[in-house]
Amino acid sequence: MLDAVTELIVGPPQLWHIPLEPFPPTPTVVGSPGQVTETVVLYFPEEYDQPSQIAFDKAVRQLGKILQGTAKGFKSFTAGWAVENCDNPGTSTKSKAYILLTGWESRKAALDFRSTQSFVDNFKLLLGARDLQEYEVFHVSATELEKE
Amino acid sequence: MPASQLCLSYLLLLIVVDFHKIAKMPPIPRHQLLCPLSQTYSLPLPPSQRGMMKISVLRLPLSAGHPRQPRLQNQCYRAIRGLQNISQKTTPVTELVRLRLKDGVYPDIDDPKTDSGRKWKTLFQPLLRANGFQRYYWGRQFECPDVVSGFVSWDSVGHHMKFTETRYAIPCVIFL
Repeated sequence: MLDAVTELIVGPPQLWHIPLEPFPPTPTVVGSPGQVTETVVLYFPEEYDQPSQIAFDKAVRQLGKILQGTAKGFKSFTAGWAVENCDNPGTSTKSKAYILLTGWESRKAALDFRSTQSFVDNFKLLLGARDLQEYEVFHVSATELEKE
Repeated sequence: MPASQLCLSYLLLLIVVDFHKIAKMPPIPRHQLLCPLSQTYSLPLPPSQRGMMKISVLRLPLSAGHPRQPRLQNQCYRAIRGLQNISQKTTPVTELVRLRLKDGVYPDIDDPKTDSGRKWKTLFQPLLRANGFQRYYWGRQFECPDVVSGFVSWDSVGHHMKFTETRYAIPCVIFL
């Protein structure tokens, strides 16, 4: 299988294992037809301590509750700290990563939310987190791979 | 101390012992590492030692020809089994993976009539039958259509690690 993968891809895969809460991520990833998942990967220093991790996670979950009540087209969210420390694309060092998945009825809904006051008020808290080194955002409309 | 904690401490101790053996070996030349996946983990040390230890899981090709490979391989397997036993006690995880497709490949993977499409369709079938596998969702990134993101749910990290032990690659635990 490894040989077959390397026939089709360039470079090493990027990989994180996340004990997402809530689990499974099904409602966030494929909850309704045409749904889009916005993935935010936030990179912190490798030595980011446990109390800071817990505090950040708590802040994200509060943000999730706000989204649930105010954001148009928002479906659900799930998030958690990655088990492994990973390569930070912005530096040559390993970092601790926090992954936030939010489900939206379309990519437009996800992008439109960025021009609202709710985004300005709440996401600045997330992206202004202490020691945040880097973050990446990407959107995927996912389907389930089924057994043949 | 509850039996489960004692068992966990014992397993962690085994890994530390393995680490000391591995650490004394000559370094493996970089070009001999088949390393599409390299993961670093922080694990708690047994209560008596406190703190965390960092390990990295690499994968070596069987053909690497390292003079001490059989010994190294056995020790790596022992260490990784210890890790699996620990991580199988923990919570389910979702593996988020990003793969960048080759230039000639990415326009075709959605079409099962093409060579790339056929390969893509059959590529992950073994994964769907793996022990501890739950669900696999995938899609192309809107921002970069040549990048595929997968969301794979597993019963535990250990189940995924066990699956990646194929006959083509062996896992190697290196403590940092």
